[in-house]
Amino acid sequence: MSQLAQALTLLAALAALIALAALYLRRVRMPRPPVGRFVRSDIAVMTVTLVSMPPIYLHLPRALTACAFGAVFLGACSMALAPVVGGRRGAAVTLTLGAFILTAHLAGWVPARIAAGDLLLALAVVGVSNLWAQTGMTAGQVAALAGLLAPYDLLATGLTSVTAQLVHHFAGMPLGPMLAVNDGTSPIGAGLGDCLMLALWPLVAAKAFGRAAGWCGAIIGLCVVSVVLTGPVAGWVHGGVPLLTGLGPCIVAQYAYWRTRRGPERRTVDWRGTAVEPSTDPFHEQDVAVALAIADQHRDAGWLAVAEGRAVGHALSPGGARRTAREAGHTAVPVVVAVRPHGTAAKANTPGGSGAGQSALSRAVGGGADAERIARVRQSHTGAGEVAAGEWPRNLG
Amino acid sequence: MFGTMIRQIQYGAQMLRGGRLAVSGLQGTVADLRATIEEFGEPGEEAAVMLPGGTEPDPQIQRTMADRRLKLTVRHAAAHVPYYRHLFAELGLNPQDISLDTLALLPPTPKSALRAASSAFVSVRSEPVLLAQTTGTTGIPTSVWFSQYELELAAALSAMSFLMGSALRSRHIVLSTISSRATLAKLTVQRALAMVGAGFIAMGTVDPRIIIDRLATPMRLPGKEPQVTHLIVTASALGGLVQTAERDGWDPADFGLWQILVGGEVLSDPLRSRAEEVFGAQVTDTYSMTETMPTAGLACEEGHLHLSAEQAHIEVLDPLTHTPAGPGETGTLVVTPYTQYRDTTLLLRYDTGDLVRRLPGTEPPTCSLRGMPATSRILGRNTNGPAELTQRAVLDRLQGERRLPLPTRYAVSPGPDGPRLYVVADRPSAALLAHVEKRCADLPLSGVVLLEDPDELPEPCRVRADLTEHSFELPSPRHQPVRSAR
Repeated sequence: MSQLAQALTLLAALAALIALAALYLRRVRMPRPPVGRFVRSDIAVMTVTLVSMPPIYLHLPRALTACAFGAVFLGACSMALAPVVGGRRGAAVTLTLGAFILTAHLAGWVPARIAAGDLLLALAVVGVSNLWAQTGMTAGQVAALAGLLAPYDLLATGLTSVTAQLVHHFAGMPLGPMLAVNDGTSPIGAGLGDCLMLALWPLVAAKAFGRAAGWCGAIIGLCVVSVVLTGPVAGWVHGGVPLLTGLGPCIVAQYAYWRTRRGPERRTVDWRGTAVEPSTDPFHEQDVAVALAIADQHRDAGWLAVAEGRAVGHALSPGGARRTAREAGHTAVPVVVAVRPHGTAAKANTPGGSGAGQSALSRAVGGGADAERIARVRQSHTGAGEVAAGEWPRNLG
Repeated sequence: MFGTMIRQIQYGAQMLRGGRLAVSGLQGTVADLRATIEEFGEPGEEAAVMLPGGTEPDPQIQRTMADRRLKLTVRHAAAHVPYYRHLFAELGLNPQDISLDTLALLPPTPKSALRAASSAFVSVRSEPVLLAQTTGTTGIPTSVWFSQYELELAAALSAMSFLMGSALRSRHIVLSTISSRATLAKLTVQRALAMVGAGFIAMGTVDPRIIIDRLATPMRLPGKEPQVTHLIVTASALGGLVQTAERDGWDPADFGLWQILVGGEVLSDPLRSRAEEVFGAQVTDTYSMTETMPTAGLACEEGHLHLSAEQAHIEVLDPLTHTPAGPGETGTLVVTPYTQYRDTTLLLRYDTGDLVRRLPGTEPPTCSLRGMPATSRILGRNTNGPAELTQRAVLDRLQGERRLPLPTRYAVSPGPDGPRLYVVADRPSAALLAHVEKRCADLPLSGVVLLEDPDELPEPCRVRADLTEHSFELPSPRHQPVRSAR
C-alpha cells in the first residue's frame, strides 16, 4: 500500500472513530459515579500522568507494558460495550477480541493483528471519551488539556526523540497505544492521546455549545490530521509529526470562539434537557422596581400584587395580596410589594425627579403623558399613614 | 473526580475504623454532591448507598460494626464522663466487659438523670461550645452540651440528607416554624441549608396567620422558586396552620409548597391528610431529638419509623422491665449515640420515653427504607395509662373530626369505671359528642367529656404550638386601621 493510501486509510479510520464516539454519545447513557464531576485538578492530574508516563514505559519490559495497555484497553472496551450489549456480553466480546489479537500475534497474522488491535483501541477510545464527556468534563477543561499537551507533544515528538523511542519500543507489540495502518518502526498511525483528543473535543463541544460546535470540532480535527499527514506522504517530513501541537491551538481557538459567541457552556443537565430549574420566570418579567413605582400610586396602604404592569390584587398582608390576585383569576405569580406611606417615596417620585422609582414608573406606563397623569393623581392624594379598613389577614380583600 | 474519590475512600476508612470523622472531608463531599447535582440534575445512580439505610448490609457485618462502635462508646464514656465513671464503679462493671451481647448489664439512663445534672454527662476531654435546651412540653428542659465538631458534623450529615433524602436543591426556600429557642435544630438546619444553597427563613413559632401569609408570599429571588417550597413544623403547629388555612379559605394554589417536614410530636394520619389537602404538599413524618442528635428517623410509605443504625445503637425495651420488647410489642426507644458522632454529652442506653411498637413477625420490611431498622411510628410518651390509649390512637380518632379545634387538646383521666377522655371543643354539643364517642368506640374508655375551656382539663395538655412567640406583625385590636376620608 502506498503512503498516500495508508494516510487516507488512517484519515478514514479517524473519521469513523469520531463518528462512532458521537453516535455513542447520542445513543448511550453511561453509568456515572454517585458523586463527583470533572474539576480543574483532575486535568492537572491527567496532564502530569500523561507527561510522566512515556519515560517510564521506555524503562519497562515490553511484555509488561503490553500487559498494562492490554488491561487498560480491555477494561475500557468492556466498559464501552456494557451499556450497549450488557455487562456479560460486553466482557465476552472484549475477551474474545483480546484473545484473537494474541492469537494473531503468536501466529504472525500481522494485518489481522493490526486491524483487531485498532478495533480494540477504537472501542476503548469511544468508551473513555464518552465517559469523560458524560461525567461532566467541560469544553474549557478539554481546551486546557489540549493547550497543555500541545507544547509537550512538540517537545516529545518534534524536538526530542521520546515519541520515536516509544514507537520503536512498541513496534510489533500486540496491544500498543497506537491506531496504526501498518507495522514496523515507522508506521503511519495516530497515538492514543491524539485519538482521544480527536474524539473527545467534538463530544464536549457539542455538549457545551451545540451540534454545530461538535461538527466544527470534528471537521477541524480531521483537517489538522490531513495537514499533518501531508508531510510524510509528500516526503517533506521523516519521522513523527506532533499532531497535538497543531490540534491543541485549534481546540483552544474553537473554545474561545464558541465561548464568546454562545456564552457560558451548557451543563450536562441542560444538554440532556432534563434541567429542573425554577419555572421560566414565573413572574413574566414583572420588575420589582416597576411594581414598587406602581404601588406608590396606590391609594390604600397594605400590599399590592402587580402583574403585567398593573395592580391585580390588594390586601393588608403580602400573602393576602397574592391570594386576591389568584381569586381575581391571575394564576401567574405576581410581584408583591408594600404600598409605602405617602411621603416616604415622595423624593424619589416627584414629578420631574430623576429617582429610580420615577424612571421605573415611566417604563411601566410608557413614559410621557401617562407618567405625568399618574404623577398628578399621586400629587392630589397626599394623605399620610392611611390604610384600608379590614381585618388582618382573614379578610384579605 | 480524583478529590471526590479520595474523600470517599477516607470516609469509608473512618467509618470502618470507628474513630472521629474528618468534618472537612464530609463538607467536601457535600460540595461535591451539590456540584454533581448542579451538573447532572441528580446524583449518580447509586448515590443512595451514601445515606444510612441506602444499602441492605450483611447482618453479620452490621453486627460486627455495631459491636465495635458500641465498645468504643462505652469505654470512652466510662473513662471520661463523670456519671458513667461513677455508675461503672458503683455497679462493679468493667467497661471492657461491655459489648453488644452484654449491654443489658448496663441500666438505661433515665431522662431525669440528664435533666438533673447535664454537666455530669459531659466528657472531661471535650470542649463544649453550645448548650442546647429542649423545648419539651413536660416543663423542665433537658440541657445538652455540644462541641464544634458535633455541630459541624451534624450540619454536614443533614446537608447530605437534605440533598439526597429530601431532594432539596439550591432553588428551594425552606421556612421553619420551630421555636426560636430550639437552638440546635435552628443552627443545624441553617448551616445545612447554607451548604445546600437553599434559602432559609426562620420564622419561629408565631401566629399561624402570619406563617400562612408568609407561605403564600411571592419572593422574587434569583435562582429560587417564587414561593416557600418546604416547611419545617411541629405536629401541633401544623394543626394550627391546617385549622387556620381551612377556616380562612386558603387554597393550595395560593402556595408553592412541595414538602412539609413534621417532627417533634406525634403526627396523626388524619392531620397528615388534612395538611396535604389544604396545602397541596407532601407531608413527611420525621423523628429526632436533641439528646440523640444526629440520629434521626424517617417514616416510610408503609408507615414504619426507620432509624439509622450507623449513628447509634437502638433498642426497644419494655418500659417497666427494661427487657427487649418482643415482635409486635410496645416499648420505649433506648438510644446509645456512638462517639464517632458525639464527643461531648455522652449517653449510654438513653431512655427517650418515646413509645414505639416493634414490627410483628420476623420478616424484614419491604419498603423503600428497608435497609434501616424499623419500628412503628412514635406512639406517644410513656404514661401509666392503658397500653392501647396511646397519644397516636387518640389523635388518629380526634383529628379526623373537623369540628374539633386544632391543635387538639385532650386529657385522659382515671374515672370510677375506667379511663375517661376529656376533649376541648369550641362549641360542645350533644351531636359533636356523639360523633367523638363513635370515633373513639374502639378505645378502652369509660366515657368522653367535651370541654370548652382548656383550663378545665383534669391535667394540662401542653403542645409545642404553645411556645408562641410575639410578633408586631398582627395589628393590635386597639389600633384597628381606618380608611382616610377621600
